[in-house]
Amino acid sequence: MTVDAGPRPDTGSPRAHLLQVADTDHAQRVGTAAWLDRELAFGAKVFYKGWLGDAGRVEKHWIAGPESSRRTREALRSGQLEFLDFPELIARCEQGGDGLTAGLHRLQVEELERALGEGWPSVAMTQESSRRECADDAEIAEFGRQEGGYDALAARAPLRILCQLTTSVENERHVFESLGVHHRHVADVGWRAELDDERWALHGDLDAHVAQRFGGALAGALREKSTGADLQLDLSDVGFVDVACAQLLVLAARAEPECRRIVLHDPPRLLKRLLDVLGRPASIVVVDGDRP
Amino acid sequence: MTVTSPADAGPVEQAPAGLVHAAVLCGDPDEVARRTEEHVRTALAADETVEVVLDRRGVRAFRDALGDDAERVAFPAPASLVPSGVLPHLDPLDGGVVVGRVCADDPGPDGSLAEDTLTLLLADHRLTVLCVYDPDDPVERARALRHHAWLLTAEGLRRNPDFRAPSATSPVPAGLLGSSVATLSVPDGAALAGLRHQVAVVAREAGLDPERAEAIVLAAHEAMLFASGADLRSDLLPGEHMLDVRVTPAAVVTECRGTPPSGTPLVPVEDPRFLHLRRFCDHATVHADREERLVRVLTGTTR
Repeated sequence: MTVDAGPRPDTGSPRAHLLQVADTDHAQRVGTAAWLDRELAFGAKVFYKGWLGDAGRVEKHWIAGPESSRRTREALRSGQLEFLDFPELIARCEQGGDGLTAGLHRLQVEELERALGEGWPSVAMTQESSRRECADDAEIAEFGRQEGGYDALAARAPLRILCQLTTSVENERHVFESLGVHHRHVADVGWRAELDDERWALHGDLDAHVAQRFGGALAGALREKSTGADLQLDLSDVGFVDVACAQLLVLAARAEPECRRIVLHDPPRLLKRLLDVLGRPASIVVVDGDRP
Repeated sequence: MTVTSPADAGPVEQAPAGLVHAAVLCGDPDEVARRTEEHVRTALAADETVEVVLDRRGVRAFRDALGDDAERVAFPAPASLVPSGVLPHLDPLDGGVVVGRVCADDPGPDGSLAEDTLTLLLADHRLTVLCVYDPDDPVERARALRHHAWLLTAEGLRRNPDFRAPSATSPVPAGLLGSSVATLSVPDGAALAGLRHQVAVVAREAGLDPERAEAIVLAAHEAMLFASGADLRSDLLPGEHMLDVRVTPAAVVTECRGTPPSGTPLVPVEDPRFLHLRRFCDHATVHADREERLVRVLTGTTR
């Protein structure tokens, strides 16, 4: 079950934009309910984008029912929490005639400015798993631009974003690319990742169950680095890494240009043994000393 | 004297790199000594351990056959070894030859179980274990043919066509490996973390040092994935995987039983994942039942 139990991130921090990964709708709701309750408790205006389905009524959505907190249900009534159905969101975004991504950015800016204009101290936005096909590179690039719009807004305003990824409703490519786009802050089942001070910090256990997702995030972290810049990986809070995930590290390092290294800070002892067994390439550098 | 070989035994072969667990179907001590002499002398030449655990007649035959070299052979008294003690006795040996009748002499089930345990848990050991059985005793003969992958005939080593790998559906003999201290079901892939935690607790309580405890946890984790046929894209199927953790005075052993998804080809032991597994534990063996419906992976580390 995925619940981001860390401190509320500062505005402008890379951690302000979180991808929450869950295997099932139920697990996703548990994590989202906790996130919503916290944002509402801090007085944020919350914009929720999701699927209403055939019923078309927010009263039928889980956030209006017992799975959410009383604070959330009251916020829905008072207007502190606004819900927008995905089909309506798409229709609004396409009204401008300049494409879905531009329309989405425009809508996000409008929501943010309206909320701040109404005097809310901060703003929070969340959206359910989008069920995007990610069928080709063009669609993936558009996906990246849309998420980049959130990052641009979060860098200049008191905004926190929760993107929900429910793996049971998305295809494998969507899951992989979504982790890559959101690698700066991920809360997954059993592990999470945060980018702080140019160091990508991983926490928890990395095993075969999450290997594909870890691989997506790792690919995103490497993609973001400019040529020649090393990827600094803080593993001091990682408890377990299995063969599948260690193999991903080795394969990623081998695929990188020679000038780039993957620097592992304080990896678990067993990971070092695993890397030796798998044939650690010279581009994987181990630095010990920070682990408490 | 009777010296027999099954009529349909295979051709003479070179010994494999790992464990050679062979039956010597021979009732004459002098013939036993002659038949095993080549293996014994090869081991002595390599300065490896040679043990002959036979009665007085058997020992005398070896002394006669080996001459002065017999001084470098250990002759433990048969009474000093029982089937349940065979595994811990052989486990520390690195190379060498052991000749004996310890399991043959036990009329109870422990003899058969000990043979199966050797086959399973010492599969990776560079060791030759030559078990002497009387071919004129129908019970002994049947046991010899059932539990040994190899036969040492007068012509040399042959594969035994009557060998039956230990059934994957039968439990590991508790009398030999100790009773299970934890039987853990794995409801889904996400529960693996909880499973690892429980294995770690057992390993700590068994007194393993932290590095060996980490290794057995990793081995159990990988074995579970292996037994279930799981790869990066397929989770474990609910309710069809079990992990037993057993602690004996000599070792901590995990036994994973899993049913790969229908249609999944069984992963051969040459699979890289299995080779990785072997790097992190002293023993790792896998086998499937005859219908290939259930896979069992045993991993173990000495204490």
